[in-house]
Amino acid sequence: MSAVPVEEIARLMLSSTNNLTLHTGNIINWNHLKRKTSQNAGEEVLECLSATLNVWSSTVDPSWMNEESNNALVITNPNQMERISEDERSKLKVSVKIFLLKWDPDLVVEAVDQVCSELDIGVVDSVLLALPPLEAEMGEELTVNHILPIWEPMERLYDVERVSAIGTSDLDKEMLEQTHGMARVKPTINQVNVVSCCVIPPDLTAFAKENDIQLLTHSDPRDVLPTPTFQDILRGSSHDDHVDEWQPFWVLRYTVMVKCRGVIKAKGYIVNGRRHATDMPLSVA
Amino acid sequence: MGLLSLGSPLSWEETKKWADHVRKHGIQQLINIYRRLKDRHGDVLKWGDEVEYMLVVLDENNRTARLSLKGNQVLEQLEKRERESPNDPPTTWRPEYASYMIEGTPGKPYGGLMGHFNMVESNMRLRREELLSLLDRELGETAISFTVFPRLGSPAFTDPQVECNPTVNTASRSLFFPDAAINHHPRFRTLTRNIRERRGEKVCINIPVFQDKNTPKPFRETFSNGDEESRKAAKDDHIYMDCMGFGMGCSCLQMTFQACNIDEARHLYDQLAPLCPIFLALSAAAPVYRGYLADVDCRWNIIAGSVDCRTREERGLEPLKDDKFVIPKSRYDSIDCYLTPEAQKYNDIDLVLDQDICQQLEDAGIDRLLARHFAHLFIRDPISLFSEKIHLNDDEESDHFENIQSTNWQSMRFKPPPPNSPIGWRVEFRPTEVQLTDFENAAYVVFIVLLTRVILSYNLNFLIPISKVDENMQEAQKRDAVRQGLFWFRKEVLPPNECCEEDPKPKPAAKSYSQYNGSCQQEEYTKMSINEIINGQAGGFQGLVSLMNSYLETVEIDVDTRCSVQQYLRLIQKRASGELMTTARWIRAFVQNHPKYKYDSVVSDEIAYDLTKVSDEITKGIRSCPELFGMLNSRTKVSLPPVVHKKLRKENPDHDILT
Repeated sequence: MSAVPVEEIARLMLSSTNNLTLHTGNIINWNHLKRKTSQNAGEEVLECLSATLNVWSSTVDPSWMNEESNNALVITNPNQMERISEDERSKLKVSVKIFLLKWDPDLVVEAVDQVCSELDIGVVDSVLLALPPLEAEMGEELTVNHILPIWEPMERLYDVERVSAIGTSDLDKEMLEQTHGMARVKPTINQVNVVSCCVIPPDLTAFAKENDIQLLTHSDPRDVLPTPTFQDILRGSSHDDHVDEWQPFWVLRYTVMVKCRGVIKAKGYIVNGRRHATDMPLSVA
Repeated sequence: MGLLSLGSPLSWEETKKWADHVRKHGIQQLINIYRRLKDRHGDVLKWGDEVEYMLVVLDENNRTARLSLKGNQVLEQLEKRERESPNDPPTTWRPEYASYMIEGTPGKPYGGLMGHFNMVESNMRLRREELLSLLDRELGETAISFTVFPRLGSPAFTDPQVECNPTVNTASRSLFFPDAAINHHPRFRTLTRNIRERRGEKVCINIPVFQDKNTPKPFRETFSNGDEESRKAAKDDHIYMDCMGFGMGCSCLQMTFQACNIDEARHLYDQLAPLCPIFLALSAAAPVYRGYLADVDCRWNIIAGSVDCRTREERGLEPLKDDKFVIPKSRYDSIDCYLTPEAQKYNDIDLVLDQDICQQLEDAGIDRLLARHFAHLFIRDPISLFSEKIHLNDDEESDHFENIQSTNWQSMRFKPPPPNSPIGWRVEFRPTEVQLTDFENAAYVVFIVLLTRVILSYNLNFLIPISKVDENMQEAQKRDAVRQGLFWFRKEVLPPNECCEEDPKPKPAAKSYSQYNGSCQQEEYTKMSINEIINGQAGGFQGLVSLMNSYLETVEIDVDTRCSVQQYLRLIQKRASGELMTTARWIRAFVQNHPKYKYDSVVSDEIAYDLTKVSDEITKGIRSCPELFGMLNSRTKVSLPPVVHKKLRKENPDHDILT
């Protein structure tokens, strides 16, 4: 084994898995992310994932991996790991945004479980859900019937007190009102793109106010991790000939803030992608 | 400006006798505070701003603007309202040095939620409305947040007009600034008199006059009531000022924040010190003194000169005989030393300090850096003392400590917690000049407080040798420094990388910043324009705003707050780039474009009237002023977003912050 170059081990490991989870660890002190005068979450994800994979593939160490099943591979950047100790947990607020890339309700729970296990916490203070792009067979327009099935796992996470507050992202007034009306556990947050923070439609503001919904801002692109980008990241590190069989399933960003002090303690991304042989159908709920 | 005790003030001769007593017990009080509270930890962010206003009377018929001396009267009404307010009053009012000045602060501190950034401007508006509601509009009374009144110290600048000459002005002996314009509280006259008497002569401020095409060369004034002293003191081509009122009669904008513990307070003190000159230049608002255009844009050196109580020996003009130290700076000036071990190597100017006090502090367990800081502040004599407040219980009170601490008016202030209070270790940022409008003032305040959060989150490092900060402080005051000045600034403010980034291999060549020392330090900083510091350099320093945006993209922030913060950052960015004018540049342009201006540097009564009137209209939003702040407009709110508000009331029923 020792004679095999590490890059070769990395390649072998990647080719033998169909389910890959990458965790950047705490990126708050990654200087190159702050050197640019402007950067959006898309570029940030791309850079952190590439860096994580690069480090991994050049220094593969079995302790970095968690082979839960025989083909799920979890890669965490160990230099960047910051687990939250129990005594500091009450002073911290952990906020999560899930960018769901497939309309599969199970992925929501999976993503939340993953972040809890990575940070070693039992409860997430808030989870926001950004919807996947509409798929061909789903029609032209987003309706509440698309939203409710993937909102349902959010409600369950809230029920079991895994998550203290749940919210949505980029819903317009119509969609927010309908979701709010039909959901069993109502969203208490809706995120709006920062470019419109000075020009929020008055009806959205009014609806949010009446229903105790916080309107928060984000500056995330519509598609935070396009499939070709994800494949390029893998191609760069794995030398896998079949990278075009890979697709990203979800991207999760967490932020850990010190309560009432406005200080960011940690921030990171966790991304899950899966491989399908080209002749196999995608499993979509 | 510091604590106010009622009672009988002592003369300078008396005060001097008690100087060692005050210092000795002041240090003991500090030691007691330190012992009790050095390990205090876990305080949340609380912060506040202070805005100073000038009461002005605009006389439309005679086209004059005068400073109204009814500050005490108005303050009494404001304080009465505050006392009688059934709920917690949202504003608090305090006296200031001059009887035309009043200081307003929020009724309770703002807290550590993002939504608090959106309340600053509304609270400032509320303050201004409260103040204006007590003034008589029919009589032309108004309140303006000028840094300096353009005709301060010119003939008849007060309302009512009062006699002004060295004989009636027993406290200041000023030719220009009547004692009647000093706040009636005895502390202020005592300070004025004691500073002069301690110094052994009147204070002497000479600020270069702006040389316009018709300005006499040499520019030399004759003073009708002038004496030998003023003839000697006034320099050619300078605007001469001769008393405390010219400095302490200026307004400024200050902010104070509570740190989570003593170490964080020291850290923020150090990190913000190099930013003082940058924000002095960015906020420049004081280009006119005693009715003349000056060749400087800021108040700083004027105030420094106005309270310079050093004797001739202390100023190094005569050999030391009766005094202990030669002291290079006034009690009001830029700080002389950093407080954290990381910054120690940048303490490159000789620190004048009282060795005995330093030793006493070290013996009490205070580390050397902090001991040196306080032993440096304590080279000063008390300049105001009340007979009722001489013998104190050092365990319960801190008046003697505060006496010296609060008359060291430096660019930053490191504030230990008061004894027996819930307040923690705090830091005050003091260089900013006050702006005309609430929008602008909120922008500067929010920028600085937000920056402290970014400093703590990203562990930024702005340290440069303290001598370079001093150089910057002088550079900042020059005319149009914001566009033309160059300032020492660190090339790299991000901490050294402990971690792998894109490059997985260890980087043997990378220098950690602790490895820099001696000559290598030169590589750490370079000269930059304000624009580069704020907006970044192509391929070089990324700029403060980009770091702040990165922070803002990470934290949870509601839409209204984000909108307002965006507008505030844009104001600062555009001031830095020169696209928008600083208040100083705008005032200068206003004077120079006035039809009655004769290109002789004189800001006449009539020009001052128009300037004041237009400033008042801009302040009140009756007149737009795109040169100053473009079309920027915030979405400020009087309280936190309703949802947050509700939640907070539930979680924190004591609500010791503004909600």
